[in-house]
Amino acid sequence: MTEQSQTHVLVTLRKQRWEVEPGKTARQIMEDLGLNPENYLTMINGQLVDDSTRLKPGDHLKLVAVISGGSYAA
Amino acid sequence: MPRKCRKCDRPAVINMRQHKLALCADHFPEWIVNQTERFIKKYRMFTRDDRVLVAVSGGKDSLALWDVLLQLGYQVDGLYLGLGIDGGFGYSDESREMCEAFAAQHPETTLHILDIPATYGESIPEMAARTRRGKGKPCSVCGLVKRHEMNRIAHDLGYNVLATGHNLDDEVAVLFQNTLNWQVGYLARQAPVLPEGEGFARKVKPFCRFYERETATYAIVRGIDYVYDECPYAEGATTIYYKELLNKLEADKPGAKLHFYLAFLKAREELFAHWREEKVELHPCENCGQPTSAPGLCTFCRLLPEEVRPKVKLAQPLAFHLNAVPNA
Repeated sequence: MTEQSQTHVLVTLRKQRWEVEPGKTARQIMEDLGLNPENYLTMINGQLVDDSTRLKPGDHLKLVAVISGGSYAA
Repeated sequence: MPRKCRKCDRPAVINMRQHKLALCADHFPEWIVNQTERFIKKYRMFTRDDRVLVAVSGGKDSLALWDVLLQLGYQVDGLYLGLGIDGGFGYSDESREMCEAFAAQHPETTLHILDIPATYGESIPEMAARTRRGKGKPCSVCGLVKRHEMNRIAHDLGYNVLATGHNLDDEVAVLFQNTLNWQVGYLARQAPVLPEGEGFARKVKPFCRFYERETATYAIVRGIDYVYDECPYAEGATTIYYKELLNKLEADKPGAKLHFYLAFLKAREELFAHWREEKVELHPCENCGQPTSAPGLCTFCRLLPEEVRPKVKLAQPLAFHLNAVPNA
């Protein structure tokens, strides 16, 4: 893992990672990255938060995918 | 400022736009538990006199459901079917570990484990590769095996209700698919409860009105470890495609998914009030005794090689208890 920038926000989704400008909400960041906020939960520095939370420099925004698939067994 | 909880001043962990309701890490799980109880009663799923078996996969929905039903004080145990799916990262092993870890933290409940490869000599992908039904993808064989074994085990162990963790996104994706294809028979049968029938346990979906993001939030807030990785065979699944499509709609029109489902349930009462399914005479499978539509062997027993079939009647799951890890 590379060192995290103290001036930017680190965004991770499974093995993908981005560095983005701080000051936006988690929802805005997802939209900027072309991701649908309905598909993800947001954790900032390990804490689950609502996606209206604004990101500060040095924050780590982890996106947790919520969609699961598979058979409709029962 | 981050959004605040509707019931207190703490920061919200989730904003449910379809309900215009934001809740914190304390009030959200409380809301989920209360709503689940409401749905169980509203759809007359079961009572505290029933014995409920929850089908657990190690995923967020089924473990969250087990947790909620235990909190509500129902007589509930778990059933895990080991499918022998590896996918390069030990998918089934990890799933089982999650279920065992949950059971270890809840000594008041029992986890029943049936390992398919250890019992029948083949994993699900191996069964699928051998048969015409599983050509291409093992999902159809997997569904068939799960339906048969869940029902058989529920019956053998004396559980009259089989609960699954299907959430609203699951329900709406299937509803959408069945509507696109006008699968009238499937639409008529899609409901929060499938009543018990000759040899069939009652099937219930207590989470059918929760969005997938809500069950995931509940699992995280409650500290329930679940398998984040998807089944390797689910990649490219039609269900996932429909869920993503419906979430695009939801992003623009909050509540669209919930409205689609609830309006369907209401319409269903009128549309199918006089719906009569063609009465299929059921026969006990001559090998396992489970109900089947044609005399002779059921589809599951036909799937198995002849020399393996006698094992079906004898195959019993192992009960996992803390400090007594089964050897399967």
